Amino acid sequence: MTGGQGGVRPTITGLSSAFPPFRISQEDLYDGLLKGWYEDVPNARDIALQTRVRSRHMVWDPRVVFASRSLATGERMEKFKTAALEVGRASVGGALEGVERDRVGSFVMASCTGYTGPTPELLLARDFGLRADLRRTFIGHMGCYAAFNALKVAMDGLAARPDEAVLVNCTELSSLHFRPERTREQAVIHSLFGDASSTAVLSNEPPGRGVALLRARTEQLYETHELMTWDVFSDGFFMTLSPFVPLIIGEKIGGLLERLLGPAGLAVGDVAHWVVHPGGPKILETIAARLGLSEDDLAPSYRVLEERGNCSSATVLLVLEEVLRSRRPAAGEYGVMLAFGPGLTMESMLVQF
Amino acid sequence: MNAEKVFARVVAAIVEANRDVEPGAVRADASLTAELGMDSMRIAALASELKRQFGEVDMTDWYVSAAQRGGDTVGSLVDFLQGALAPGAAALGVEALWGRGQP
Repeated sequence: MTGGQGGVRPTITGLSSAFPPFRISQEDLYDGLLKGWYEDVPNARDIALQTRVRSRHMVWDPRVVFASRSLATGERMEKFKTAALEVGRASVGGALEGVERDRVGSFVMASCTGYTGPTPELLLARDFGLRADLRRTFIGHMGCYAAFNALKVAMDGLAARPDEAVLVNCTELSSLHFRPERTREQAVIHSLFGDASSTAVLSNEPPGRGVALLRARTEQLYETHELMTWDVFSDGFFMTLSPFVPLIIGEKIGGLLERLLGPAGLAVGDVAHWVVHPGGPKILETIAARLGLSEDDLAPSYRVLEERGNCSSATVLLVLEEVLRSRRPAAGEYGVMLAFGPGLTMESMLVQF
Repeated sequence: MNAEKVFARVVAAIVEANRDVEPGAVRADASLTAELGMDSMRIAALASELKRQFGEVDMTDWYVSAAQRGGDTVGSLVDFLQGALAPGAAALGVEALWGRGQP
């Protein structure tokens, strides 16, 4: 439990996030765009404001871009090509400060909001002078939990090559995918998602040098695969999200945590810090109710949701940053990271500060 | 527990979770979301009350079927609970007992 080979564990030693410079309040976006789109959706304004999102960063102003027409997928991907590099550069640059570049042996990037080739991490690696024999992995389209997939690739890399450092980046530009369908479901979705890039640096370290990743557990609920989808259409990406998703997560979260924590000899009450992906307020409320957590336990998740929105895979790393900043965990305290997405898939990680 | 008792308890729990709803509106074929106006938090409160009364039942299978269009009727919930309460026993089928639209 306390150590891998030689007493070291895969550890997040650096974390840095960046956002596109354009920021818009929920009210301004609603009044400037969504109000017109959802005038026939009952309580559309309440839907937008009940998400608890107060502001979001976006790579463009949807009030302007989508004022008169929707866009083809190619037009959206053209924007991804440049914008992902801009925000990714700011995030990766922050995380690499003080890191010996030649020690970075692997770079894992996740995104579900855009595609281009060469994939963005190649150009970012070039810009930051990373090694020509860098192992690169791009994880596409998995959704809000993909930071876990990226972290698990990093953990595997550190097990195989214990002396290297690994870079993990999640860059999500959800604002590329505003769509004009006038439904309650789309009103909810367009009121939640924002843009962000977050980067972590990992290496094998002894206890007390960062956020050690102790155990990871994934559970797929195969029978629920139709309840959350993210498809690529010719006129952009299209998400569906059933209102029953938070309820199903609520049914399954207790068992997942037993199976994550039990083998480590821990229980929910031993967890001092909760790093929960704020998919939406109802996910957080349901998890709190099922696990007996207070709103204060989930304050870092709520704060990220309020200030940044749901930034898909980058979000759980934003919440981890917020926990480190606002909670200042003591060395040795345990935390649990959680995220959910299409599948339904539940990802979990036991960490030690 | 027979279907009538389960139905009566479900109706009472729906009204408790959703004070805007009149008991008479809670028909077997009424959709919890479309007709009774319940959002996911109200359904969560309903599930919590039903679990308090009937014991810890994993509601996932009902949630999955309820997510399909027209699948979240009061009758489907009663049928599910009956099945869950009496494993191996055939559910009586509340919609058959009461008929569509008649509580």
